[in-house]
Amino acid sequence: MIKRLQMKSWYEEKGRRLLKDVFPYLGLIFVLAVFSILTDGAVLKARNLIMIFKQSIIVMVGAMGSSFVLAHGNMDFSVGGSMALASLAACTVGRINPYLMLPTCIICGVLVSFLVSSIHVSIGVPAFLSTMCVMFIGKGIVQSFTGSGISAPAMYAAWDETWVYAVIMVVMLIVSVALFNYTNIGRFNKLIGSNPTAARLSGINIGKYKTLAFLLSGFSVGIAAFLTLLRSGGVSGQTGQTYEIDVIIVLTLGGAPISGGSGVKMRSSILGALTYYALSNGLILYGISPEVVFIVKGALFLTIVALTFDRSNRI
Amino acid sequence: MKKVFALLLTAAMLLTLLAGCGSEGGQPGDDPAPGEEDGADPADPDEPKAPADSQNDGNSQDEAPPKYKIGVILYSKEDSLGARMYSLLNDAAEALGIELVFALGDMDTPSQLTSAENLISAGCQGIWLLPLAETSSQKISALCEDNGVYLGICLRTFTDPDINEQVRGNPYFVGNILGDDYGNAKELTRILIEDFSCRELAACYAAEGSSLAYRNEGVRDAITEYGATQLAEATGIDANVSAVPGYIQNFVNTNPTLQGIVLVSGTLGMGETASNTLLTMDAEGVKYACFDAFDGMVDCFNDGYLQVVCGGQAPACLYVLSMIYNAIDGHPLTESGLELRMTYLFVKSAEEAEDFLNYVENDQVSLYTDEEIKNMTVRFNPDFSWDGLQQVMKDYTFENIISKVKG
Amino acid sequence: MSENYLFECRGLSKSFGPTKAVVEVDFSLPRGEIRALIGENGSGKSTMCSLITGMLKMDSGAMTFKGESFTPGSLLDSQKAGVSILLQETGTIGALTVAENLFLGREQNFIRHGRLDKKAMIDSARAACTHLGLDIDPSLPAASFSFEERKLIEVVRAMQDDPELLIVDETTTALSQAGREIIYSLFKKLKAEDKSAIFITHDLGEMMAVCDSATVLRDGHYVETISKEQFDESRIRQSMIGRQFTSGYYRTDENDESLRDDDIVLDVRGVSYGRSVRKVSFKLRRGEILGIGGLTDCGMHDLGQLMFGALRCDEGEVVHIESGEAIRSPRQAIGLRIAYIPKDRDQASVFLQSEIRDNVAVAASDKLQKHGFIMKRAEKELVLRETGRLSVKMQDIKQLVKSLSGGNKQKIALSKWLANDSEILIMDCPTRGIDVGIKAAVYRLMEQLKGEGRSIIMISEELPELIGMSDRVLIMKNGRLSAEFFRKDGLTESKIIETMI
Repeated sequence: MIKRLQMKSWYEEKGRRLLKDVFPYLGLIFVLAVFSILTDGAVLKARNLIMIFKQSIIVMVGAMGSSFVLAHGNMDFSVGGSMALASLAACTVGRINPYLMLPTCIICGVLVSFLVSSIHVSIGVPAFLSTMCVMFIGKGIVQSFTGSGISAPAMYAAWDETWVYAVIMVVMLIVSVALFNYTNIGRFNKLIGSNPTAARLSGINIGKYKTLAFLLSGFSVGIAAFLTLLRSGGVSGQTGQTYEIDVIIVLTLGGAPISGGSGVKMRSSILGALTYYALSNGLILYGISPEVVFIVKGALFLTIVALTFDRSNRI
Repeated sequence: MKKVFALLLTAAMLLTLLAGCGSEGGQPGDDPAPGEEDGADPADPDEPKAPADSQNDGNSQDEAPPKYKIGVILYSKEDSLGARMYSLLNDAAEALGIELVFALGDMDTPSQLTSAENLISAGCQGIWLLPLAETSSQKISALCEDNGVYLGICLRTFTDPDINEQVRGNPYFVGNILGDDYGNAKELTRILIEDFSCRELAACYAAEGSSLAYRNEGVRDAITEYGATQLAEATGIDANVSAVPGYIQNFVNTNPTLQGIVLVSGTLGMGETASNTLLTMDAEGVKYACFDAFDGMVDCFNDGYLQVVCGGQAPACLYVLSMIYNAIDGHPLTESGLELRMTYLFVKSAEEAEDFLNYVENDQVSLYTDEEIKNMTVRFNPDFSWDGLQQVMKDYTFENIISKVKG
Repeated sequence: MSENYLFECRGLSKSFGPTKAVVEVDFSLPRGEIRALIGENGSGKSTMCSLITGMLKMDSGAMTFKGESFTPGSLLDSQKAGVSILLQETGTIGALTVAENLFLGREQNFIRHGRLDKKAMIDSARAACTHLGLDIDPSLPAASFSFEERKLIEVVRAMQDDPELLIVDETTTALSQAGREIIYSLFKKLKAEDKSAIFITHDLGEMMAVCDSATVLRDGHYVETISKEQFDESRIRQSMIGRQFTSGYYRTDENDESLRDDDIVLDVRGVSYGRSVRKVSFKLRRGEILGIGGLTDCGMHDLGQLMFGALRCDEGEVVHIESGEAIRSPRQAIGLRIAYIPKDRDQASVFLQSEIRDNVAVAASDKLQKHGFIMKRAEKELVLRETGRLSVKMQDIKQLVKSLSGGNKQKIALSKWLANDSEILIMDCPTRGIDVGIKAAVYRLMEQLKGEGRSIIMISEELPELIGMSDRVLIMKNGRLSAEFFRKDGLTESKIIETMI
């Protein structure tokens, strides 16, 4: 009897794990399936798919960095403000020497995240507060200093090609996955998110690994800011305006648990970003009426989250 | 398993919901002709589209007009300007028998660019754009050029010379229309000086370098040209509403002979603030003029200080639409995209203000009849031309509009 | 149900998840009786009190109070009905005055003309205190009084309701003789008024002196009720502990001759921490299993954390002999191969939402990386080896720990430290809440580790395992070491219990 029960629970567990393996992809599959039916396959045309891929990369890159912060149970709201600051700094520096644009973006992103994490780690201000303050300050500075906008150096117009985005994204993905799954940075941040008390009692230097997570987030925001400059050709008062929200939506759609912990996976960034942009694309291709677009979008979000939500993280 | 069923059920329900609320323009599946054909076009940017469409010229006007698909990138349809443009565009689309695909809510350049890409991928033959930054215009222009899609820009120009050159060099750019800030400011000031005989003036200017700075020039030139004197000035009101009462108090207190004040902006409650300040000070004999028609202006006129307001920029969207439509239809109004500046409506009394709010700013009212909209296209009005469009814009005056919609 | 009984319950049960705290308890309390409720730690005494006073909701069963069905929804409900309780923990609010504390929630009694008459309130408070023999100024904030005085203020407050049933939950352990006398006189007064009391205490002498009868609980079950005539210390203890020692479950050897007093691995030197640990000193020998026992709040759990650096000593130091370092942080302790298994497994020991692999490898991660990257193969081997050694029941190392049973979770917590080759293991209640089979496995592991020359400090609330496993047992009482027993002298429960309470 006991043996049979054990067998049963073993099968249940096996089945559940199989479902779990498929679930994260269901959101994207669902969106693509729905819209390919509604648009007679227009969404699935190679050209369109490549376009969706390119559109999603800026947020994808930021989400990869934010995953480290999310893993230890924090939300990085500073990414939008940080992106705006990095873009402004890079455009300013880019006028002197265009080649300094990428380094400036990265340095700026890392500096901002260092500031944010120092406030959080050493003073103990909750991270959402310190990141939120930086978000407002960053956006405020950029809005008052850019006026109608500053253009990026003209040479970068030629870089605005899908392959450039793809290369940067693949490099970022490899680096992120390596750090997230194969080093203590990723592992310890996940463990801190899972149980901070146990993490401390297991000898994890919590402050150090939280800071490292923020620095990585800042680095990826720097990269994302560079990509934004490539894509939009310059900085304006609106740069990075909704970026933090986009990142959070993308991570959620990708099935990442907002509470952090080991449920955070790198694939969430990619799946979430693709799902998000496939959804926007599908809605326009289908030509949905603006009167109901938000209702439909909300309903679809709910469905995707229900599909991809990692049930093992249920409270 | 229950959960899986529940999810499948949700999915099925959503599909039904989606199928039920597609755009009024019909679904791509039902109506493959224009959407599908033209949807394929962007894939071949080398092949210009205009000639392909010109085959329609042979059709008689009794036949259904071609159902062109135009993408509209608009920041929002929730504020008063966005809502008004949204309603005007929809009315026009119905009159012309075209399909508009709206991309609303984009707040930065990458989002606007993404929407443009999606709209082109959806088979739009033209893009109507209200850009949030000049880089938006630049990037979307390049995108449209690559894909052979026409682009019209509403309420914005290009101050950056490189962007200006690039966009105007795009053969698919049909033109841009924006408010004539200089001319409108000059006219506003002229009315205050000549019609209301205020010769001793003070002015609240926009910050130098801001997008409203052209208005400053208009006010200054009018003061010189019409023989008035500027007693005092303040700068930067576009960014700082709360400073307005202080400025006005200073103007009035230090200049006993002051007759009038010009405000180059009236948004964000600035108009009401000015009126209230003058009312509290009991500043007899001081009149003011301001930009941007606002909701509370009827009361302000009744208080006796406000004399003239200008506003009513929303129809610019229609003129841009006309330029795009004609280009898609094979009859571009100009060879290269030009800029037109629009004269606003001037409201000079409480009664006029009421009419303005009830008709010009009322989403339920069409400012142009279907016939008039059609007459803005070469297809329905073979005599229509660039000059014709300018004439339409010239005829857009307060008196004309009100007598038309009222009558 | 008889009318003579003030309070009765039938089939009272309460579980917390898988733990059965109170099981089918029948209990009747006549009017005018002072009843003791006794049993080992975790036998369900406090849970029963919480059920009676409505702080917890029973799972099943029925209660009657004064002949009527009684289902209090909250502490307030039971207070209104006439049941008051004095708790183990402090229950006064420091920032409020004594008078405000006393009349908390009854301020409306002192409203005169829409305003609170503070003077009247203070006067009534003074009267109430004096009545119980407590001489304090009720206009001062509660925080300005000693722990004992605050405890007595609670007594005064509890009596404000004029309860018919008073429950005293281990309150006296915090009081001096004078304070206790106040409570004893309270019992006499209640008895004279034909009211009743339930008294929880570990002090059997005190219990036998003041109570009319005693109800024994064991593992949540009702055992028996002993009347005053049958009171006998050894008989009561027998009843409380109840079980026979099972041979082969614990260590079988009588004495470990190999332990040497000059081979010390850890030296605890005059360590103090707040109120809970006061000047504790002892030495841990190589290969020794050192048991530390006492009541839950005797300070032994804090002592465990102090030895691991998870808490900082206010005074004194814990020295790792081999390196000569004083331990200051868990990180340093782990580097010195000291392990700490917290009492609260799910909250502080394992990462429930994480994979078994990460749980086991976390403490050993330094030796598992090369050029900053984790060596996945070495890691897998290590995790499989350590979980295999404890035969953890799992599907694979990627399984989430929260899907394991309690016992297997504890095995994971142990594996983590075995993976780090820990030389000194501080185990706080290592067998808490796990079943007999896994308990035995933990005991075998301890023996094995001891055999390998590693040292273990076992903090436990269960006397049988302390006796069964330790080479030496230290007993703590009120933050101080109160006694030391050696295995070679023969350990018995009765001797130890005497020093605990």
